[in-house]
Amino acid sequence: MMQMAYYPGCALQSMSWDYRESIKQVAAVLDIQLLEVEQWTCCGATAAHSLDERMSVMLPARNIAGAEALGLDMAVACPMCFKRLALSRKMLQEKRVDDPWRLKLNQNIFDLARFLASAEMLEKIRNEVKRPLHALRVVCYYGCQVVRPPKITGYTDYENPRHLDLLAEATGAASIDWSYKATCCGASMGIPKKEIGLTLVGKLLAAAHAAGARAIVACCPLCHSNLDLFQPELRERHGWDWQLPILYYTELLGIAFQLKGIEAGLASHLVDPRPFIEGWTQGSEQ
Amino acid sequence: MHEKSPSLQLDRQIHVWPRAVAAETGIQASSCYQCLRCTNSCPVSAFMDIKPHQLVRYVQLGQREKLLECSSVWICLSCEMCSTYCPNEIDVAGLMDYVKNSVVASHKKPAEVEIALFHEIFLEVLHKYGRMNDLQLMQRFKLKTLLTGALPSYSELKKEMGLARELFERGRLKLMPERSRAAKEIRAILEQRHGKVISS
Repeated sequence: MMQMAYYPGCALQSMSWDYRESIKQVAAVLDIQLLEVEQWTCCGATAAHSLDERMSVMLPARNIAGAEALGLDMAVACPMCFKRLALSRKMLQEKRVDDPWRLKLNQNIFDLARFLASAEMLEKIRNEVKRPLHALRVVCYYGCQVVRPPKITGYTDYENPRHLDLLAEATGAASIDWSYKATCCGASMGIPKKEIGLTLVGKLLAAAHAAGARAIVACCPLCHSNLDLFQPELRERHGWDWQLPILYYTELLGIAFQLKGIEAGLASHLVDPRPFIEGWTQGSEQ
Repeated sequence: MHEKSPSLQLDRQIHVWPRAVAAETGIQASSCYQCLRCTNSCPVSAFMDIKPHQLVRYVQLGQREKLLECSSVWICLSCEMCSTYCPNEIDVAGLMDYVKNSVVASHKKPAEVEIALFHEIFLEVLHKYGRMNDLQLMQRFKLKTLLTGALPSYSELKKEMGLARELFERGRLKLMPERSRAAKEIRAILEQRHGKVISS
């Protein structure tokens, strides 16, 4: 069994519990033990760096200290947290802020999706697929935080990331190329400035549908909420006669692994994916 | 309005602020040659009063006051397209943050009060629980904006209540906020910050 320190992030403890649950289920199947960083606290997200930069480095840093106490590499579920943690680590390495924790900074911080898309893990995933999704065409949506800026995330494929596509393909689904993989969804702006959120999400959904996708695979709780929760209003506004289920990559894996434990999470989406699943598996009877 | 446009008054003072920005942030606005890649890659430039490339120009020209009063920096989503695609490696999103930080630290009222308040309330929830909670954040934000005079229309309110009810019925909302046992530690960090959002 593989052990990793795990930072779920606040979204997973509140509204995005569906993501948390699917991670738990999938990790168990893949024999990965995720040890939650003890007493972890919020990374500060956009609010912290908008209002005070030093604070935005210190808030993640105390969680890095928590992972170091476990002595393990850390997997981060939420792209926003991943970026804030990675940035904080870099600022500490460059000694641009004080460090009351005396961190060693010698452990890796992984974006969980990226970690699961390694060649070795993909092999494991393919072996666990009980229900190949051969009839499903998806687009993968990465959002901003997990890819940009490349100086912080360390990704060289920031213009055309592929890790979610690899995960989707491992379930038997076809992953369609499209131009909006890393285009911003509006983040939390949909709350104080709804029009901005509706405009950006509207573009993404229309582009995904035009590309021929029947679902969108996402990795960020904020992107997921935006793409899912704005759909009823956008459908009405634009007169769309279609809807697109938004799935976390772990939910997609869970569907292909036939995990019962993710059902409640799927049912919590505004666009409920469950009625579509049978159609996705057509022609895959073995 | 002054008769002379402040952007044309070139005197020695003009260099003071840009140098301070560069020294404090390490961001070299001076290397911008106005290619507009930042503005072209920005997903919300259409909603901005000062476009990203103009913001960089204003930094070069030392127009601090102009920037502290603009709404763009609050509209910025921090998606970092601008910083990623700048051929001169200027962290434009970092400049946006710097201006926002300066507004707060100098106790000025932000041009986009609701957005700034949203951030402020986010930190308020962290101060209390050590972790963010969607429901707490939304409730506190709605209450605060009501108090500051932004009344939603009836149809808007109805839509929001409808969405809240549906989320509740689907088991999406968690009524009891989680508390991190380390909330105390996080409070110490939060209390060291410079300034607070002024909303009225």
